[in-house]
Amino acid sequence: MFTNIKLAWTRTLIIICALFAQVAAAADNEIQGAGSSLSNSIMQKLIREYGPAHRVDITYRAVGSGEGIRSIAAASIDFALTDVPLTKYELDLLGILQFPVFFSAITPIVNVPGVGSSELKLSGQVLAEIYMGRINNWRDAKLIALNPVLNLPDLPITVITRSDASGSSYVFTGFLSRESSEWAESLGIGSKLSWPTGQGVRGTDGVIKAVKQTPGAIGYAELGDAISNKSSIVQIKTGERFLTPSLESLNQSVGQFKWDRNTYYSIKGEGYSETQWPIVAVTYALIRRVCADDQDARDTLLFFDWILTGKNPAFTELSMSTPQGGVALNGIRRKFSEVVNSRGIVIQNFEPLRGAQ
Amino acid sequence: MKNTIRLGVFVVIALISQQTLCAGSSVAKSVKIFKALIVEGERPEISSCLTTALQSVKDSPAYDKINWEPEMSTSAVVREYQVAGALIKETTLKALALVRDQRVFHLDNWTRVTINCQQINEGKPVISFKKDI
Repeated sequence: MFTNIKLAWTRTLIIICALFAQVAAAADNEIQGAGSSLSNSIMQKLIREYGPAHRVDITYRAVGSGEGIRSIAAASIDFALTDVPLTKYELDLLGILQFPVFFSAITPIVNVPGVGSSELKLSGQVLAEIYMGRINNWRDAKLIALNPVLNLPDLPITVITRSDASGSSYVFTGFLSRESSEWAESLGIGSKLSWPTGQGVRGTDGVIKAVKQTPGAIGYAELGDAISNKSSIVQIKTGERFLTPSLESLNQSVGQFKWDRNTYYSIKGEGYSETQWPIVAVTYALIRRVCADDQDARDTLLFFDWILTGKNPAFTELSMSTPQGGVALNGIRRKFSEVVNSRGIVIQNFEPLRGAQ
Repeated sequence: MKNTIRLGVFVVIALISQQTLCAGSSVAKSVKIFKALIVEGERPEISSCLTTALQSVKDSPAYDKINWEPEMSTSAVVREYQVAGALIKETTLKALALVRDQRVFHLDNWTRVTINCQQINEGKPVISFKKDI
């Protein structure tokens, strides 16, 4: 009997201790984000690192850029990530702030039997013709001409596209529009298009999976995701040479970007040289200018400030990059100070980084 | 004389207030339409053009109303280019437009039109309608 009472007391103590431990470990606040699926891998890594250390429970749902914009417009999340930028006029209509957070390389991925990763050479023009359905077999003369040393199979090309409103599609079709005037005139730049050919799937994961499962398939994905999923990437013709996507060639492109717009809309350079990867996604964060909850807004801003100023090694691991340099970062931090509450009080002031204007 | 001046001032104030109110309601309506399109899941890059086109048709001397065709969203063509340092985003949309007819007795006359939407340096879209031949 005495033993039973002792056992019961011990159990009660353990439960009380566990409850205390849970309360101590619990986050002080929760914030929610959604959007760009190509940012999912990096976001999950950053959240795992930042959340527990700063006692903020952050969730990010990779539902695609279009859905992210939809959710922030409906005020159902604290921040959205999008690879489809909004213009000043659109941002003003929604009452939203926009600033760049990540840069990543978008790369075509293929499943061509007998051809290894980084072996296949493509030009922007040929890629546009594949996506227009004009080139539909891997033994097409234009593909053989670009790849004289490869033994390309006599196999139909299965084009994989995104069926959801996607930032990857927006960036990829932007590249096709630059490379092919016919593409620019007839299809243009789009997060969601009436693709002339192919099979539409949802999300970056969907594209990677569909290409892997279909011999003869071609798709497009973010470089870090392509590498971590062991997808076959390609070389793209830039000037007189062929370039493989890499963190280095991405950074070469990012290094020449211009930051002259207050909204950071359409950040890009004058053109792409032989060493600069030509398909670059700029992922933007969207935050409401007048926030509904001071603490949520403050936690969101501090999280993005940590991302932008932290030089986190996760970016290198995933072949991604962030805005660099004091001028760019101070510009973005000044934007943070535009977020106010319903009484017009600034949520958080960010001092300029030392040595930058 | 004093009364005439007072009346004049009153009329001017009334007109200015009316103009201000109209302008305000037009912006509010644009916000409402744009938000609704985004929340419905419309392509974000064409939503402001759809909004402005729906608003502009009311001022059009040629058309009363527009209706979107089922494939309008995915068939809209967006291009971006620079002219003399200005960034131009141009969107082409296909629609059916109701021809404006002042006659009391008339049948509705819907015609296919191409809507050209230009955003210069991220500003308010400028809309023009062109009848398809």
